[in-house]
Amino acid sequence: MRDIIAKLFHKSPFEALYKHMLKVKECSDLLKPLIETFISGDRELIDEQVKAISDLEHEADIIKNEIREHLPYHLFMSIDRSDILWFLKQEDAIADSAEDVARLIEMRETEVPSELEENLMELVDKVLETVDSLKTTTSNIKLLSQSSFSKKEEEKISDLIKNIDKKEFEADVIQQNATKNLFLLEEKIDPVSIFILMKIMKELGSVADHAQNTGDRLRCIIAR
Amino acid sequence: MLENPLFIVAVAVGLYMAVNIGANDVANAMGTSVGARSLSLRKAIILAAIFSFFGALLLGSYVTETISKGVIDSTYFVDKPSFFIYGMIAVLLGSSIWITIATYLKLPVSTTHSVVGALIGFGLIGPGSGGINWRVVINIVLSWVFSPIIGALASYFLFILIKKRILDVPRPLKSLKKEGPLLLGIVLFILSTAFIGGCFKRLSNNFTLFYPIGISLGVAIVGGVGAYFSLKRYSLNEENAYEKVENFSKILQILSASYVAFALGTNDVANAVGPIAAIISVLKTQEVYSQVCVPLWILALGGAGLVIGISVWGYRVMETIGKKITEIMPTRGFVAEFSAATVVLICSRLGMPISTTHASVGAVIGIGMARGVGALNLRVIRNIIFSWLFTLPIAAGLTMGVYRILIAIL
Repeated sequence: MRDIIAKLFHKSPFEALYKHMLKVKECSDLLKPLIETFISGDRELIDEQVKAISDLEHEADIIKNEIREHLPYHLFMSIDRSDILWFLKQEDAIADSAEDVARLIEMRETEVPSELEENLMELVDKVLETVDSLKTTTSNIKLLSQSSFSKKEEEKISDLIKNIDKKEFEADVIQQNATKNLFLLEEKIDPVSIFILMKIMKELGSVADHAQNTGDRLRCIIAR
Repeated sequence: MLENPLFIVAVAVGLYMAVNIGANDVANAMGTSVGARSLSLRKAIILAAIFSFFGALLLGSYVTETISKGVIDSTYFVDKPSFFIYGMIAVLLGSSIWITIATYLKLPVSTTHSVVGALIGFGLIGPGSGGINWRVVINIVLSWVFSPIIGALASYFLFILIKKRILDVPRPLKSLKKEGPLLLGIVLFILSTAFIGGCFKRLSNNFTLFYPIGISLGVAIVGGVGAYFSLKRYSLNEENAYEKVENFSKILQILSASYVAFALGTNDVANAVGPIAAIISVLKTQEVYSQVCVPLWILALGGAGLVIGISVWGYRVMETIGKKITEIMPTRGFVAEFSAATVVLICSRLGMPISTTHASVGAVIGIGMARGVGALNLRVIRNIIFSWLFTLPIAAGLTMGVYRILIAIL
């Protein structure tokens, strides 16, 4: 008989999910100093920062794969298995997009026009705020499981998710305005720079999009 | 009686079984208490030893009677009582050999299933299938199927109740102050009714539940009032409310751990001493169909075996299990232990030998159904069913073999 009861208990994925969240946040938070360096144009520092982002993205991947490997089909969980996997996929996409931004910046030496500096900083701030609201939201999952999915905790999380949506919307607006401002400069700067700057802003927007999608998955988890 | 070498063998093997149960099964029943840190390892071992001993002593006789004279129709041995003794020794040896092999192979085998399989084996090779009370066997097998299911349902509803009353409310701490003392009182009442009721049953001839219930009510009220005042000291600040609920539940889980150890004693001791009791009744009267009650000292012996198993080997098994189930919260562990113990105790009273571990597994799954635990590995259920299927024929076959050998050499 020995430890049959112990075998019955499988490690709950909540803790690892939060660990993944923290790693993703650590990774995306580096976007701000990167954009600052991008504006100032220090190529050496850019290479260093891109490498740091890329390393953190890789670490997040490792955590993601660990979680996946520890979620076999025959588990019986308080949360639907596919909801967890989707949630994880979206959360990981945040780090992926952050890395894409970093790669775009690293790929080509591009000068940031001074008119765009403010827009870029505003955008990256809002995007990181979106990720931060997601982090705040997921930190409440523990309370959700402690309370065995009480209405009160579900409502709390659902309010927090609305906050992510709000931030993402704001990031969208900033991104649109920034793009408009970029096109105002089309006479002054070369088309390739415009192309790459647009792409960078688009990809920054994606970081916020994925944070919102992750929040959406959390909605599904609660709605069960 | 004591000069009979066969009897010494029977007692030794029975003791071995009891030690085995103490070493393994108790840890499974109480593992969540150690895992949730409601009890330190040391305290868990002390409670396990005390309560399983008294469970065996006070209420172990019902299942012991089923094992000793319920399954095998002993009237077949009226003119050859010694064959009955050989058979019961074969049952003890056959089942304990299988338990030893299974423990070595790390199979989740229950001593209960092993002993019942062994009894069937003896019945088949001794008196033949007509000598087995199939009705009793079917009831036992049904109790194996239903005890985990009822354990699951009981813990499901108990946990839902706790959730509705304490966890899923706007102010959990405020609810805890109201419901906590009541809950503690009810648990104390049930535990003490079982314990004191057992004492009265042992001590008095015309037994009624009147005094045990009266005393238990007193105990429950004292406990409830104590809980009321200790909860009163908590501030009404709802911050970390769930953690405070869990903290209070640690007290409940100390009680439920004692309760489950007690219940285990009442049921599992029979696996070890049932066949010995059967042998004694023959040796005492030289007749097999006598209606001798299970002597107290034999239950005490089984209880002592449990205590030895718990204190010598149970420590390590409990430590391993406790380390592996740190995910469980005291509220959940309490509900699981309480439900499993109640199911086991009811089965004991009905004389049904069941596996405490399987009832515990069922109870934990019930909490999973109520979304009380993060993740459960249901493959364990498959392993349990396999172990049933293997244990019955293997224990039966081993017993038949041992019986043949005993007949040949004696």
